[in-house]
Formats: sequence, structure tokens, C-alpha cells
Amino acid sequence: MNFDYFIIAMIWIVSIITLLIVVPRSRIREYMAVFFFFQSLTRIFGIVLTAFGALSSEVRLFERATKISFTSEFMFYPTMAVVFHRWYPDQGGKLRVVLHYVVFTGVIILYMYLLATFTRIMRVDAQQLIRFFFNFVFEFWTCRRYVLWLMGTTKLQAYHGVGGSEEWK
Amino acid sequence: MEVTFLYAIWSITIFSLVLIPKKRLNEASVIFVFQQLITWSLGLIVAELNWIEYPVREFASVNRTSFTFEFWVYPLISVFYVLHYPVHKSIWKRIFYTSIITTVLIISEILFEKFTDLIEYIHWEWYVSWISVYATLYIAQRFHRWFFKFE
Repeated sequence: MNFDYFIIAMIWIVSIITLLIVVPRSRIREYMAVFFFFQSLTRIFGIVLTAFGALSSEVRLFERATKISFTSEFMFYPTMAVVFHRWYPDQGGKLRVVLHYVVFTGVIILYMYLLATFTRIMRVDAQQLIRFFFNFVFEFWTCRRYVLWLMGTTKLQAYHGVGGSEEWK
Repeated sequence: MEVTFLYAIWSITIFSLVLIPKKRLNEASVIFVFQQLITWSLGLIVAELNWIEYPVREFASVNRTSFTFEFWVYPLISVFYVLHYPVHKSIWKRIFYTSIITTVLIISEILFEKFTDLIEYIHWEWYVSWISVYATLYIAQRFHRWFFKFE
């Protein structure tokens, strides 16, 4: 019991430190968009997959209010999405990109597997892990499309130093 | 009856998406996911402490929170609120604008509370709702201005 809560606390601490290290200050808006959008995705997937019984969590925050693993869905996965976005191989070939997806999804699957094996924070069986693999590949891909679109439409970086822009309609 | 209301709410809100100007979809999406982050955490706290109950709700086996309101309706209302925010008007007009929208929302919440099982106040008062809605709308509006560097 205590060990599980210790792990939950560690996940929060490690995620927050990772965010502080990884996100460049000058691009904080872009990474906020990644984080918030990915949260939205994991939230809906977490709820639906838990409702269908593919996922469950015994030791969790907000035990009464929700059955999903708030720590993972709210903090850990979005943090992974931020790291994913930070080192995405823009200039790399197809193989590099595929490898990138595999590595990051792999880390998440490993995380789920370790939690399922050694703690009661998460319960998934091995067959479900394969499904989660494709689920996360899809989430990463969607999130990346969204952020590229968002950055393309707003030219957030171009506004640097201008300030006081009155025309915003 | 509650389920009919939910259907109606979902239909109306989905149709209301056409009212978002295409050019401002980027702004709308940022406000939407930002407000979701707030409702996710606050909604869980409120349900965890048993302040509000939602007897009829989606995904009832998973959550005690109101999925419809917190995931979809309120973030969407925030989008419309922020996109039409009278930025260049005087401070009193801006306060008036926020207050009117908040009041309309709270009146509908009270009606839902009184006449349906969609929401029940346990240890809660309408003015707590009023203050939290006003505050979260305001935060979303500030965040939007900061995010898109309008100031």
C-alpha cells in the first residue's frame, strides 16, 4: 500500500522535473498545447477503455471520484508526449520516425507492464498491452498533427517582441 | 427524461460548433483543452469530497463526475465566452459580460438541480458554483490572451 503511493508520488515528481528540464522556455506555448491536447486524448481513451474493462487501477488518486489512473492519464502520458515532441526527428528519414514512435510507445508499454507487475496502480494483461501499443501510436500521431496544425495557423513564434497587437479578430 | 436532456444538450452543442469561425479554430481548440484541464481536476475534487453528485451520467461505472459537462459542454461554453470577450471595452463592461454569462449558467444549473437528476448539490451552494464559474472563465480568458500574445 505505502509502496504504491510512494511510486505514485515518484511518478509526479519525475514527470514534473522532466517537464522543467525538457521544455525550452521560448517554446513554452507549443509544449503546453502538446501537454493539454494529449491530456484530452488520454482522458477520453482512459475513460472508454476502463468502461470496457481493458484497464483498471486499484491504488489511485481520487479513489471515490474515478476509476481511471489519474496520475498516469493526467501527468505521465502527457509528459511522455512532450518528450516525444521535443526530440521528434523532423529531418530524419522514415526509419528514424518509425523508430521514434516505437521507442516512445515502448516506454509507455514498459511503464504499464512494470506497474502491473510490481504494484497495484495498474492492472492490464499482456494481450491488452498490444492493443495499448497501437492506441498510443495513434494518440502520438494525432497529437503531433494537431500541434503542427496549431503552430502553422498561429505563427506564435513570429509574434515575439512585437507585443501589443491590437488586431486579433 | 434526464437522458433526453443529455441527447438534447449533446445535439445542440455539436451543432453550435458551426458558429465557431473557421479562422479561429486554433484559438478555440486551445481554450477548449485548457478548460478541460481545469474541469478535470476541479471536477474530481468536487466529486471526491462528495460536494456534488451526478445521479444520471455517462460512464457511470468509471466516473462520479459529469462527463458531458466537464469534458464537453463547459469547455465549449468557455470557447464561445472567450472568443466573444469584449477585449477593448471598459472594465465594467467586461465584468458585466462575464457576470451575465456566469449568471445564466448558474440559473440553468439550479433549474437542472431542482427538476432533474442530472445534478444534486450535497454540500454545495449556488454561489460557490457562481464564483467558481466566474473564476474559471476568467482564467481561461487570461490564458487565451497570454497564449496568443495579445498583450
